[in-house]
Amino acid sequence: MNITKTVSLCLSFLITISVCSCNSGRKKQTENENIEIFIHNTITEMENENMGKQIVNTKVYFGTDSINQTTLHELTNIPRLFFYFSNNTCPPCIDQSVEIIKEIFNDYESNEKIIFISPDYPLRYSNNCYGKKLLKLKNENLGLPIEDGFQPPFFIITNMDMKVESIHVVNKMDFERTREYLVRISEILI
Amino acid sequence: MNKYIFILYLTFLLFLFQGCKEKQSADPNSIKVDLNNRQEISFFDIFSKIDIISLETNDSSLIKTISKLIVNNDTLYIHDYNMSKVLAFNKDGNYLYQINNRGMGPGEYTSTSDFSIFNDSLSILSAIDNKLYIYDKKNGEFIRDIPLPLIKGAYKSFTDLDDKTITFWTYDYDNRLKIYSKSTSEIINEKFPEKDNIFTNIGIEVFPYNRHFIRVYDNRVYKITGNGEIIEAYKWDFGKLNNTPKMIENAPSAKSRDEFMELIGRLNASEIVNYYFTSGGGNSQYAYTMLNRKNKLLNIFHHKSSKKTYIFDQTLEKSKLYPLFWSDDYMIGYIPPIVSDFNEIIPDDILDEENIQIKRNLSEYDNPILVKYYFKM
Repeated sequence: MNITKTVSLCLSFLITISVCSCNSGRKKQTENENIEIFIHNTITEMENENMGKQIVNTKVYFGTDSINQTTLHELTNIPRLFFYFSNNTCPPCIDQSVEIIKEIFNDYESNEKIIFISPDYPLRYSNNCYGKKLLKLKNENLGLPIEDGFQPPFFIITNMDMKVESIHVVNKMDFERTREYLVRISEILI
Repeated sequence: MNKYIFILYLTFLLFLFQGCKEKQSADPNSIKVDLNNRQEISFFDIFSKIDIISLETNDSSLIKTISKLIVNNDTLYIHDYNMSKVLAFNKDGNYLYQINNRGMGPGEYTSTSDFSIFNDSLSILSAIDNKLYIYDKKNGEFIRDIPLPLIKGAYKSFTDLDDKTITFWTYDYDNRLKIYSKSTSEIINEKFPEKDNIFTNIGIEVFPYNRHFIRVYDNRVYKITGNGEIIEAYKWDFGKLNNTPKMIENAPSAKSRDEFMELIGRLNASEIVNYYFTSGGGNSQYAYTMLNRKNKLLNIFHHKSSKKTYIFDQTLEKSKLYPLFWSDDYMIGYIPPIVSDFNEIIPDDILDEENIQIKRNLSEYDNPILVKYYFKM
């Protein structure tokens, strides 16, 4: 009888420990999921906020070629993918985004439909930033809400009225989403 | 009678207290500095001359930011943390080679965290890969990689102590400093617990020179001995302006990026503590620190033999300093991205004719500029 009681107690103890461990693991998993959901929601909000917004028309030039200027409006007469990043953007976010661009557009360096913009990258990178000349904006920004405050890298395509028709903000916790977006875009840009 | 005994007792306590206070202020390791006593210091009070080092700028040698500089046998080794690479230039700034091995293949790393030079090797720490990557410092050729012991948190930076040991600074807040044995590939000692707060999130070169070790909030400068012990080398004493233990203990931590930026603003304005350290340095002549107080970066040079201390944010000639590397004869600083006007660092008044010409040819399209300051002997 005593042995049975002891065994029952030990078993109960072991079961309790197992359940607590599972719950603690589940709690951490829930916390991680909550963070992922929060980031995903924040990014979706950013994208919604900037969708349909008109970018500011301004004089632009590539690299250091300030003699050959054009306007942003002229560049948006055909669908082009603008990839925008700041000097303060986390470097791995830019690196990984460029890796995905390379994967999907293996001619991205010479492809004129893919344009890199950075308002504040060091000037010495103007002619060669990840293999491309940076587009220099006279206004120094596009006039989009997403450019204020914290700046993750993002992609946009505008229509001929310079309104944002497609926007994708890079989520460093989900680069697969960026890959899927660029695969869809590659069909538009061909 | 009791009244007299009580008065005698109080008097005794007073003498005891005074004695202790005097003993503290006679501490030989203490460098007393009056932070309110800003002097007009000429550049030439400390340095005899200056040379501008223009780093070659081409598609292969582009540097985004200089995170760390080591000078070894006249070669300048620069860590560009943002681009995860290490570049080598000769003493005149001519480009030699770079180590830019990002990838998943053998000898390739995900990203770089820190680097060091010891004997003929250049070692790169990758915290994400939990490895050291060893290269030949002469040409950047990969030699081997060394997996590091798993620890709580991650590795952050390191310095080679000698042939046998490496000191790592980590994100393990229970023991931030770890001593690693090269022969057994094990952590043989660990110490220095810290609270995770705003201070621990401010970047500082933890090992600024020659086995010394500093913290953002701590007046003490430590030295790591041959057998991995930490001793106090000296400490800064700012008198009534010393940060109190309570200030440090109660320092907040940021829960978001916005909160972090707000706290940094308050720290810079000396609203949380009176000051915090941003940089350290020294050699046989000088002990040096840079600290942020009331939105100003103050340089403090303490000349060890004359006991003279120079405190200034800029010299009489209106030159500011941003030191990166220390040796006995010279110090190398740079012009950081926040400075748009070269004259803030290298005004004509401190340059000879040759360097004035070099300065005239500098451009905002160039790699970051280095400045070599020669100490007066």
